[in-house]
Amino acid sequence: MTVESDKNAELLQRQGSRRKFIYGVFTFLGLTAFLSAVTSFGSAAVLRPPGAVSEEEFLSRCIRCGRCVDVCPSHGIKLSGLLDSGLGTPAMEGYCAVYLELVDPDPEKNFEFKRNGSKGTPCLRCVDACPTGALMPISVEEIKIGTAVINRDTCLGWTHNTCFRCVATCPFNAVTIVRGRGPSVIRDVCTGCSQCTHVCPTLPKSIVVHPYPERQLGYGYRWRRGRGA
Amino acid sequence: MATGGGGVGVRKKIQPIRHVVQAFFFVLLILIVVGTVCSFQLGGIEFTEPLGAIQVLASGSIFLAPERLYPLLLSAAVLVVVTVIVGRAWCAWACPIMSVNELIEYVMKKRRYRTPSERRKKKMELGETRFATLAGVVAAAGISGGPAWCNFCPIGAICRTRASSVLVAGAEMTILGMVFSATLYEKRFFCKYLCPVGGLLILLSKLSSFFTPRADEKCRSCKACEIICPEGIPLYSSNPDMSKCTKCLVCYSNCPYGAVKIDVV
Repeated sequence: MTVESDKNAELLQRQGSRRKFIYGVFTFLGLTAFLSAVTSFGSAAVLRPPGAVSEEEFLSRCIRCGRCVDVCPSHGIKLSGLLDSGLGTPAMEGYCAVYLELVDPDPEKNFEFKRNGSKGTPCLRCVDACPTGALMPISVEEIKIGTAVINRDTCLGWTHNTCFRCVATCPFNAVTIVRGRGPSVIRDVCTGCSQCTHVCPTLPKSIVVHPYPERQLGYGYRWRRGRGA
Repeated sequence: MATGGGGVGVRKKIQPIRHVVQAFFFVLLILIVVGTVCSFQLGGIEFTEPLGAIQVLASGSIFLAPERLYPLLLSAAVLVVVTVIVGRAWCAWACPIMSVNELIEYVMKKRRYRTPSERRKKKMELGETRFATLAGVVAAAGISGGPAWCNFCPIGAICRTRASSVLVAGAEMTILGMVFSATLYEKRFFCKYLCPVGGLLILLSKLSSFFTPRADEKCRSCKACEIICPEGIPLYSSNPDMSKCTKCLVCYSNCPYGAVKIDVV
């Protein structure tokens, strides 16, 4: 009798452990498949914070910790959504101050900043905060978040020959007035900091920054802007 | 050296102390630190969740940037060292998900709500699926080339809610809602069956031997410890597997015979 019940208990236990093992296998396979599939869901290119390595490298390193979001003095970084490339990774939604002096930019302040010719204090706090090297140390000259593009149909400079706030604001003098007609972006000089977008008075904004495709060339690629200095 | 078996007062007081520590870490990790529990800096010490670091290592590209590899490993080592010393204490003393789960359990107790498995008087026997999720998370990081789990980690989600755009915050609220409503089905469902961080800490705490609860000779095998233990460790038995122990000391507080001792070393 006792032998029989022992045998039954043993059998039950073995069945139980086999069942648990199958649960484990299913959990493992299901989770692996789900996580692998879901990472390739969104694909819309987004603006990455300064110092971001190539998109593939970036996605493989970013642990979505949100430290860059927290340290950004201009609150310009948000975590991206479902349809964007890399769910939950940081993307620029506001502007990048680049220099600590230019947090909360406006045309007069930025113009003064440029005219004084004094070197500002580079911010780049997001780069210092990143724990996994998704944002790598970078000099201000190498920043390339994207390139500003002007919509000449709505831009007040092109339609009414007025405003030119973006020209005064751009910390790198990348927006110039072409032939006295309207503002135009020098692509090589533009960092994509979006300060021009921030000060643009039109709605929707007439100058917006687009992700720069060359950023995806590969690891170690750094944009050398064509400025003389 | 062994403490414990002390006055009833000490034994009962340890749980309120633990809840205060939990509340402290909850406020600290969610509201105060710059960053999230995934990674933050506090008092000059860099902290990174080891599972995030492991996923980044599994995806491989960090080896292209060795100047960032060693700081990453160093910051991930903080919790590893803590776990090797005090075992899985992170879960019961600091983890915000566990804190909220315990709060829900407290409300459930006050409202006299019993989970289905409590009504059936039988705990779910899913086994150690935590290790399966851990393996799945690391494998997915290797396959998809990135820390994919971090999108779904409720520990990160509860800390990130203020950092996210509206859409992500909504998704994270959904994840948290699923995790906490699973607690209504079985207490601490996520922590007990799914949490890969818990699985990792269990593996690490196999190296740990400090602050381990143990039944002394006063034990009468009433099994109260096994019933009340959130992890269901049969402390009364001769050689229980203590690597799952979260050092919550509920057994120490609730043993009817005061037979649980905490072995400091």
